[in-house]
Amino acid sequence: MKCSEFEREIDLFNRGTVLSIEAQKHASLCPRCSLLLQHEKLLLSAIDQERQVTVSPFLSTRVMAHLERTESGFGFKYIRYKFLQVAVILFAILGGFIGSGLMDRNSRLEDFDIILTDYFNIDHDGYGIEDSWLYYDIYEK
Amino acid sequence: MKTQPDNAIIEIVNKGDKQAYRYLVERYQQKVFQTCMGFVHNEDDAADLTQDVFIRAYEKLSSFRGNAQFSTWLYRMTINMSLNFLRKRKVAGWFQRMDDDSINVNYSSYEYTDDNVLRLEQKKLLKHALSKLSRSQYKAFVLSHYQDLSNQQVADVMKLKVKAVESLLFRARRRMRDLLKQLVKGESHEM
Repeated sequence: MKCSEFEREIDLFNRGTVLSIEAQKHASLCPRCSLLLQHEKLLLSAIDQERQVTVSPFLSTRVMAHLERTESGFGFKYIRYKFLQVAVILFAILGGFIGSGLMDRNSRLEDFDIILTDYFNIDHDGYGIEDSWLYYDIYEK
Repeated sequence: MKTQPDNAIIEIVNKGDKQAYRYLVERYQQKVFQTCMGFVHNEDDAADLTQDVFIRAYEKLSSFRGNAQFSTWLYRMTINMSLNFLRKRKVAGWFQRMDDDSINVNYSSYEYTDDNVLRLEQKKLLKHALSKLSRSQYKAFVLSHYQDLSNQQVADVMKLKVKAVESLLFRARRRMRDLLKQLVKGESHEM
């Protein structure tokens, strides 16, 4: 038997494959093919080992407990979310009120300043002189 | 309840009896766990992943329309989540993984080594061999060899034709054989 024929014959991934006597003879004579066979068996046994590991018997309990927690947490989460929404709206309204109040106060101050300026400038001694300087051309004409 | 078909249990769960879902978990937990093992090769990670799969499946259960079997739908979800897990782990432990991937094992003397060391070497060899497969080959191989699904079932899960699955499995085995041959060649030179 040739090495290539041996390789074709060993397909351990097809479970239940039994080596023919010829192939067994070849493996005993050819170190390379014998090593290949060993490796393939090694690989297959690694897969079998992983397949044989059993899942924890408490897995279903863990899953159900997690689902319970999530469900009970849903109500609180929902309320918290809604509370946040309302808080944001209230904050926006409050901000609007405070902002408009401040703006009113500023504008009132500006008005007050204008009144004060007018008050002091009317009948002010220098006001007339300044006025005449400013509008000198007009008056001259 | 234990003997009821999947669709009947799903209907009960969707009507609000959450506890009925436990029967579905118990029915498929081992299969899902085995699939996860095929991808992550670690018992603890596989257990966590299995738990996540069932939680996700519960969340998405209302969207399950029953066109395919529940098991097919569940296995598809398992594969996708396992691959996502691997992707995240790859990003997280890039440097560590590079270290794990370095394979330099002398198998010719494995009969003299301790059982644990041998198991570790086997796992390394397996991980290395599986990492050489394409994603589709990997999926088909795990479903076929870890879960013992028939080619038809694998085709259903992967949404492929049976011929395509046969071809994927054939190429996966050939690629693994090629890798083993390379290893043998390397060791023959050493000997």
